Amino acid sequence: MKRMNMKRVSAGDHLTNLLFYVLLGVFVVLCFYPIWYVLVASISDPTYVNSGALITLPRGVHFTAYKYAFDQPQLWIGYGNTLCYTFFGTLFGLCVCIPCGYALSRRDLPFRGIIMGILVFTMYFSGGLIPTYVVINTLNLVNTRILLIILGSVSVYNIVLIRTFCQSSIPEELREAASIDGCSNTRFFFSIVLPLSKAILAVIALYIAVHHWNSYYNALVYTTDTRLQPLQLYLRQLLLINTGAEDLGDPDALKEMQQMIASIRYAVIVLSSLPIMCLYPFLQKYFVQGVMIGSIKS
Amino acid sequence: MTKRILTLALCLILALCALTAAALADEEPVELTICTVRRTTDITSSYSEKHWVQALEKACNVKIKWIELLEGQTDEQLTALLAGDLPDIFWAGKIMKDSIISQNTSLWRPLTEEEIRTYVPNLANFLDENVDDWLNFITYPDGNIYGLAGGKMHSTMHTTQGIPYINTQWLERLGLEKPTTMEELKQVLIAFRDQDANGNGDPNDEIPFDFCDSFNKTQLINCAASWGLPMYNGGNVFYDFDDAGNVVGAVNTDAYRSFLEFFYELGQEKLINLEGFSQSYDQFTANCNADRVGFFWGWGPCNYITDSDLFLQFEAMVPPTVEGYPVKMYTANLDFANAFRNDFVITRACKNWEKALEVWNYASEPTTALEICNGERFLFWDYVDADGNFLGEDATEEDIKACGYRYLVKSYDTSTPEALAAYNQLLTDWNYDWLVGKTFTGSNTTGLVDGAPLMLEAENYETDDLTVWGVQRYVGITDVLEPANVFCPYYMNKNIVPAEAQEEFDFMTDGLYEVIRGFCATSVMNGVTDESWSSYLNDLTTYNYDFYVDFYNRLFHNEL
Amino acid sequence: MQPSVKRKHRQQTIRRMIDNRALYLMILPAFLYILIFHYWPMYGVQIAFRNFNFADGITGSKWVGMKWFNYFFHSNNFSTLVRNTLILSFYDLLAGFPVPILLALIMNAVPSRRFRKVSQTITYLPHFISVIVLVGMMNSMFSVNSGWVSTIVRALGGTPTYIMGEAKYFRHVYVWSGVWQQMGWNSIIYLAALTSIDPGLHEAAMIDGAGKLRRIISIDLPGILPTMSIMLILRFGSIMSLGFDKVYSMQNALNYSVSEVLSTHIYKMGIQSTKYSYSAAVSLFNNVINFIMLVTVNRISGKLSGNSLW
Repeated sequence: MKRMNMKRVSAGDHLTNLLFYVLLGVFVVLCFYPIWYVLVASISDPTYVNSGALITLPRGVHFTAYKYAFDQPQLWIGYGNTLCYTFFGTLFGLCVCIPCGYALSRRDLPFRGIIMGILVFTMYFSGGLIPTYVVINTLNLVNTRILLIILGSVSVYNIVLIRTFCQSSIPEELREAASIDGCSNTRFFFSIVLPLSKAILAVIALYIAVHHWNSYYNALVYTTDTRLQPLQLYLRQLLLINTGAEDLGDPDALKEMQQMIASIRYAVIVLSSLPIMCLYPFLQKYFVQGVMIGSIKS
Repeated sequence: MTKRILTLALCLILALCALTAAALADEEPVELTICTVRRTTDITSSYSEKHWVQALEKACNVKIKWIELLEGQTDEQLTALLAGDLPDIFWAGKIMKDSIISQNTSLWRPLTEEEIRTYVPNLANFLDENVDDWLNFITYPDGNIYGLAGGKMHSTMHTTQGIPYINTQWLERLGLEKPTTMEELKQVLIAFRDQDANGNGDPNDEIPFDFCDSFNKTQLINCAASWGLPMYNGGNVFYDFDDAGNVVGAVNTDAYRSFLEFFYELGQEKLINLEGFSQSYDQFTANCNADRVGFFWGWGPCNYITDSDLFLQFEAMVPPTVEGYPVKMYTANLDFANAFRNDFVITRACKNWEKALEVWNYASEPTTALEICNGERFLFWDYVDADGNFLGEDATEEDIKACGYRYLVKSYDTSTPEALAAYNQLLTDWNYDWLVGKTFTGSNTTGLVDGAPLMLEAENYETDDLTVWGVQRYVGITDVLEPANVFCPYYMNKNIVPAEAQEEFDFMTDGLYEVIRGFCATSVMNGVTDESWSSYLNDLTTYNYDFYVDFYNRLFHNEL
Repeated sequence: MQPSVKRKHRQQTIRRMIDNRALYLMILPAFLYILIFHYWPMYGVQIAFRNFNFADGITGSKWVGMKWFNYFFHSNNFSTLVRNTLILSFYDLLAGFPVPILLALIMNAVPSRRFRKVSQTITYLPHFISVIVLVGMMNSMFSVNSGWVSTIVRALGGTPTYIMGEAKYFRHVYVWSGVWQQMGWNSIIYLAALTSIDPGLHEAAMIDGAGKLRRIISIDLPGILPTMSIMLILRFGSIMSLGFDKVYSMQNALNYSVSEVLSTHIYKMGIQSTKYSYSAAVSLFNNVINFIMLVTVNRISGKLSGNSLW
């Protein structure tokens, strides 16, 4: 099919485009504000931040928050751990979830419905904190890095998304054509499915990476060794101290902490979110149209 | 001949080996696993780096493996620990609630009085001399003692929770007197609102009366003390005592209704900051720091305000009186004010419980205990005599005993950046909490103040320097509130609730606190009408308020 | 069915299984993971039926049957809790489901590639701000006394309302702030789905003279319908699992009547009061409702659009 060069754009389309630009512009501004606020707050005097005097520009600029944040050893330990868990966890998760999702998308696979059901069931029913801990303790995985890498990397939710994607964008005819040519399942998967699924691969990689980056719960429960603890856990300490969620009971201590924490909280937020925020632009290039699909139709 | 020499040599060698083995066995330190709570601001990566820990390990010949839970998030971590491998000792009074102990009694190793007196004589002797009834305090309803108490036994600071403070500078500027009645307070608040009380030229930026509902010391319901209702939200204390010492209802009385109506008026006239219901603690302190607040209930001005010139403007005052009602403030029993019943609990996983008790005994020696709590003696604190002078390095045991083990924390100048840096360096060198801020005159540096192994005699704040942290509050309590006789004498439950009774209580009162707090907030916001009041009383009945009152009555009379 | 036909079927099935053994191998690691970390601990569901304490352990604790469920169902709060949870969840779903789709369609349709990339990056950023920080930020912004939104409102002649406090605004603030925060992130999956739409369809439509709007509605929308259906099904399947952090941060004494939800209740009664069995029971109830919802919606979606989970 030849591509037609469409140079003329109709008036209706102009209007639509304008409308879209305006709407999108509004969304972008709305979404940018909280980021800007956090950035500005991290270099402003905490008193201004909390009194609502902060609107768009920093007040009482000082970079000491960052300086103090960098002085904290726990910040760097957390950073290192988080990077490690995120990188290896994403790798592990992709290697396990993608093949599984693809395999379950094949309508000719016997018992796939049952397997899917077994997997989905676990999204809703679980033993809870105590038995899971007992199991993990029995496996001697408490206080290990391996656990924090693999736990949370495999999620049925992701498998479902992969399956949906594969079902709707990898046509059955392609598969039949390939098998007639003598292509095995494995070869088909590696040479055809993977290249075609770049978009979903990027999405799932992003989901798993972000999940690991933001996670604190597994580290909280399954590790007590501070050397293994990720950044988010440390950040949560800083956030929780002041929300009144914990009545410390000893106001003597609260005052000292409040001063220190107020000044570094936003800096740590920026430091902990910056790397992962930068991930998406790198993955965007995978969101391109599937080129081969068109050629199959004929 | 050679045979004989060889046999002799062999025997000698064997004997030598046995001797060495015996010697080594004596020297082999005992391994203990201790679980405790770690402060966020702690700069060490583990307790084992701390000086006092190293001294303790050497003195008691133990090797401690610390399991450190993160403060503020201990619930899940504690659950996991209890479900998995138990440590030998729990040194975490704040998180070991009575209910955890009562529900899982076979996890702990009970102690007998004899064992305590034999193995922990430091503690037993000190307590016998200074504290009444301490054995009863730690004995559970089933007659066993599961843990040893820690924390502050006597504490004037913890006599009550929030107390009222008013900005005397503002009063002076407007030519007003400190109010003694609620009506007078209202007039003062009106003046704060309308005139330029903080002297910055703008008469409209003052907040006469601010509070933060999410922070217990500053809550509005504290103010019911002026109507004779000594309540404290943080402990879910919503009852009152009659003259005979029986527990009676507080939130269903006419006094309470009158309190709500009065505060509704205050809100309508913009004399209280109605946003206090949702604002965060940070916002509240920001308001205070910006010199916008004239009156608040709280722990102490230095907790919320960093500038010493500003916080010195505040003075404690007696809660304003209301005609027809006495003033009754929530009071914590002085004897067990900030103590944790289960500070040192030995679990059944501990193989060498004598060693564990030896550790506690070492830590219970008064000076050691204070060092664990406050840092090195002479450097960070010292004992003081009756005039407030430091005893110094020449002090003898008798001198210390004579002064009653009262101590004062040394305050360092941190007004200039160099001084602050020097002070931070000092703290860093000694592996203590890391701090930033304009001033620091804190009371502890190690993070174990809540788990200090000993009940300490009251802090001595008999100093004239009000900028020293805590002194303002101390002075407020001793000089202003105690003479006014406003403390309700019956509070601070010492009795332990048995497990089944606790369960019944929790389920019966499920939702009750939300009803009480919710009605307080919505009434101050929107007013009280006869219908809303009677519907509220109905709700109280549905949510078992009567059971709640009766329960506490039985608890205080030890009838549970 | 004839026995010989059945036998033939079975043989065929076994044949197909052997042919596709590589596929089963692909499923195996995930399956093992789920087995170990999800099914093995499931024996702990019985905590909800026992009076659990650590000393006796999971299997040794006393069996109490439906005791906790009875407590829960007969508690004064039961209907309030369920009602609040469902209303908040449904509202969140109704508001939060279409917006990301809209955003994805628009972002995909704007001609300028640069603007598209920039907008994609920026709109997904708020997802990373923790809800606690977001609530703090909103408190600051909308503060009647000192927030800048209120200052602007006053400058325009109005009186600012106390939206962060009062009960009647709670649900709206909760939902729309959630939409604001999550819309970019939630649109990612739709953007990915849009890339698999055959561009030839668009070209053919353009030749036929269809305008952009028309093309979006008739090509893009149906193209992402499978994704939409699955996302909707999964959303329904977590209808009762309202997150805890955000509600707890936004909860205050004025809005208990609408902000007390199942997750805050489980938190207060469970971990905080060490009532593990009770909170396990409430969680189980939660999950059963979610599951029933999932199965129902899945079946409906299967019948209506052919897309279903299994």
